[in-house]
Parts: sequence; C-alpha cells; structure tokens
Amino acid sequence: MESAFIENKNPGASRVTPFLPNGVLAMIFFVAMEVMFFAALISAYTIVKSGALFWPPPEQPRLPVTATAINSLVLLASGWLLFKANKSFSVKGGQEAATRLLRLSIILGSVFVLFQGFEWVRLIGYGMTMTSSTYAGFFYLIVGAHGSHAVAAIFVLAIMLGKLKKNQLGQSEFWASQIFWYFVVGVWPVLYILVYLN
Amino acid sequence: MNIRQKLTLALLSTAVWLPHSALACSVCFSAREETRVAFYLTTALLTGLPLLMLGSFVFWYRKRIRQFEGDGPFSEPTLDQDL
Repeated sequence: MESAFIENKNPGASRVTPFLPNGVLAMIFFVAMEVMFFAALISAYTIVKSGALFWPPPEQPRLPVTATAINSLVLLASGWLLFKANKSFSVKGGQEAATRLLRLSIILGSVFVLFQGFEWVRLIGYGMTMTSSTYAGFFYLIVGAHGSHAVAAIFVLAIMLGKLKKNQLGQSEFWASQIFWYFVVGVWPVLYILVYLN
Repeated sequence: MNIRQKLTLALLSTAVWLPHSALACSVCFSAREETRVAFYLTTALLTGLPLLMLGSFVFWYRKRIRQFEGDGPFSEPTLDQDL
C-alpha cells in the first residue's frame, strides 16, 4: 500500500511530500474503533446503572476516589510530557531532551498502571470481585479494558524510546504512537467521572 | 409463485412484528424514567460519535491538504523527514 502523497507548492519544501503516512492513518482508524468500543461499554454501564435501585450497591466497598484522582493527574502529566517530547523531537538537536521527556512519560504511565493494579488487589481483598455484583463486573471490565490499553501503549512507547536512543525513530511512527497514548490519556477522565464519581 | 417462495415470503413478512419486540426491549428490565432517558442518551451517543469522528477527520484532512497545496496559511510539515 502506498502512502498518500501530494504535490507541495510551498517554497522550500520538497516537491512531493507525504501528508498522511500509512502508519498514522492506521492508528487513527484503530483509535476510532477503540473509541466506539469504550462508547459501547459506557452505554451498557449507563443503562444498567439507570435501572438499579442502589448504585453502587450497599454491600460493595467504596472506590478510592481521591487516590485515583491523584493517579489520574499522573496519567495526564504523562500525556503532557509526551507532548513536550514531541516538541523537542521536532527541533534540531532536541533528541536528548526528547529522550528524557519520553522516558519520564513512560515512567509516569507505568506508575498509573501499577497504582491501578494495587487498587485492584485491595478491592479484591475487600470482597469486590468480577462476580460479586453487576457494579463490580462493570468496574473491572471498564477499568480493566483501559488498563490493558495503557499497558499496550506503554509497551509501544518503550519501543519508541529504544529507537530514539539508537537514533532510528521516524517522525511518523512517533506520531502514531503518540496518538495511541493520547487516546489512553484522553479517555481516562471520562471513565473516571463515570465510574468513580457517579 | 411456488409453495417454497410463499413460505419464504410469509417468514419474511413476520419481520413486520420485530420492531414491536425491539421497542419492548428498552424497558424490559426496568420501566423507570431514568432507564428511558439513559436509552435515549446512549442511542444519541452511539449514533453521533462515529459521525463526529468522521466529520472531524474529513475536516482535518481537507485543512491539511489545503496547507500543503499552499491555499491556506503554510505550516511546516513535520512528517517529511523520514519518508
């Protein structure tokens, strides 16, 4: 499959320039699909919740709202650092700063996932399991789906970091991996408000 | 029309009753007002979201093409380094 090319009439630019690489286009399609997946989960959750007399059920433990809010800030900071890493990567001689910022972004993303895992262990300890109630089932399904996406995106970013260190990272693949991480960061506040605050 | 075709037509015509079943389904587990509102909202979400995403993508794509063609304000392309 060919990349999309267009004649660039701007002075100083190369005559033929790809304006949307295949990898980026594929990532946009993938993220659009994932948006619909999470929209379906949100819809199912909203409808089941609307039919329940008590939500969350009285016998289930309460979710750690404040701690997860702080953890959410960690994830947002990770997204911001990735944005800054891209800025540094785009300028000449900014590779070192980009490497440092990307590494920090990965570390913060990993902290978010690890804290979520720690939270799950505690909740399971309190008796909140996948089968204990519909509420718990939805919690693990939605937050787990997000967590699995976060793990996959961190893995992708780690590969990008390895390539960046070896000076082999291309702008298009870095852009595609950023789209994936921005999706993971962007969808979380919606899920947090829906699952933790309602 | 032979008997097989008539039977097929008769079976297909039963689809006329399907929307009634589908309508009943929205309140089959809860007849509360909140559930009805939730159904409307989530239907709007699942209908509007793909259209919004497609529209946004087309808008952005056209804008980017215009920039590359030099019609609009020029911004330095960031993706021409490695391809």
